[in-house]
Amino acid sequence: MESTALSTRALDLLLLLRGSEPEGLGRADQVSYQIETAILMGILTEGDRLPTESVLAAELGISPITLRQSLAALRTKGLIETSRGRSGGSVIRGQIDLTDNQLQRKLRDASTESLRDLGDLGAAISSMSARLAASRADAQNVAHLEDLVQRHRDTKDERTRRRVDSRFHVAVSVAAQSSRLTSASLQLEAELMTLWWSHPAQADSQEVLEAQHVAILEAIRARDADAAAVAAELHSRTETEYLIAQHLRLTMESDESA
Amino acid sequence: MHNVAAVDEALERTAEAISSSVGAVFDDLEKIAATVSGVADRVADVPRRSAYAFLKQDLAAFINRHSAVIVGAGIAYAPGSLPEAPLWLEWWRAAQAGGEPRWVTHDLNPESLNYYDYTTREWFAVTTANGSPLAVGPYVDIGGINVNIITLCVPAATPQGTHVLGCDLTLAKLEGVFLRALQLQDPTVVLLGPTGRVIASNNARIASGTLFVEEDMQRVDRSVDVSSGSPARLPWKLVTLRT
Repeated sequence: MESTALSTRALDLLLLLRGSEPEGLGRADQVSYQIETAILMGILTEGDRLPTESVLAAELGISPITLRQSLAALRTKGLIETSRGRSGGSVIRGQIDLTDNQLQRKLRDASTESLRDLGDLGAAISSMSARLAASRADAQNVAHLEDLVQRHRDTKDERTRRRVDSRFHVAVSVAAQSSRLTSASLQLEAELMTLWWSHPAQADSQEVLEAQHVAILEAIRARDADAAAVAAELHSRTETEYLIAQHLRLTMESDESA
Repeated sequence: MHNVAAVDEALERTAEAISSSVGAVFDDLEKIAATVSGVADRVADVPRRSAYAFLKQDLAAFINRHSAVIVGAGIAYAPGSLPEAPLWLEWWRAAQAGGEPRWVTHDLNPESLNYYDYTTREWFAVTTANGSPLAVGPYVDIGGINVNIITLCVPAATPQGTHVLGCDLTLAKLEGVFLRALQLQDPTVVLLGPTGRVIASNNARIASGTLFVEEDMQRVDRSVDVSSGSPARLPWKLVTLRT
């Protein structure tokens, strides 16, 4: 089966997702959740070969037996395939597709208050990340951000574009050279991923978000820390507003009585 | 131009929906408070905690009945009123799937960093001082249930002091009542608490939990009392904003 070894970078991001899982899960379920989230976010993509069980278990800090339980659960869902032998191992074989209905129900059942709270945290993480990135990003970081801004603009498929958007936000934290901000940013994006995929009805919203990405990128490139922080905060607030606007619309449309 | 009559009708409808759903909760809580006062009056001596053991069941039934808007309820005893402890708070949270409500632990140790001194919290202090029912908040109840809530409070006067019966409404649940009754995206309509704290709104820029400042107040166009019958108990307003 066609596969390529997982990059160190993807593995690092996978490890940083620890802690994003809902409370009350056993360790094996936590790890399955972590890997599922990485697939959902596009950190792990079809064809990626996971490290050997002993290596992956050590990286995740769990026993090989627990890891085998996690992998078995993912296999049942058709997300990975495992083969034996020298070139064997587990390979990502699926993408998680939340249906529009699932996403809409989740967004409707959220509350403006919880979305605002999530947005407040997002604004704090992204503005500080952008501020630090402005003084710490090297040429390679900037090139990566540039690439993501362009891919976000050029991608037609809405879901792929959403993944690129979240990768851009995480990449700003990576450029800030802060592992804790990156981890916080990843976990926040992971949460947003289960809420928000489609862009709002406003005709110009796509252009607004694209222009905001460019503003963040340009401020980081110009090493203007204040401008980067302001641009990132504005972007974060705009996204939160779109999210809340959709939640309000969905709640009003729901005929379920209180 | 908005259709003024249609907007007024939506405001009235929404005020009525909120007032009746919150009013029903208040009414039931007042019945429980009356029972508490009655027990204290009947006992010759100072009542012990066991005298109020019936509350566990009564409050569980109350929480289940109003689970569409409330997430928890309980009683805070007047300081020094029980022989067993100087401060005593009993609170229950609604269970996720309709089971028995769960006990909420509060740290009542004055030495602790998480010390929950309810006697200084607004919901207890104001209710006992006024001696009348009141909706307090929205506020973030740190050390309590750590989410943004509104507490409906009802005093229960006893010879040992005034206890407070309370229940927690989450902004999330109220928002649902507000939006489904309103059915209006334009103009901006905001449900405001007494201190200008936003309880709910139909505008994504004016999120629940944020504060209405002077500048926002100047944009208020129409204003309707949510509970014209008992504004002291439920001091909320529905306002529309000029664009």
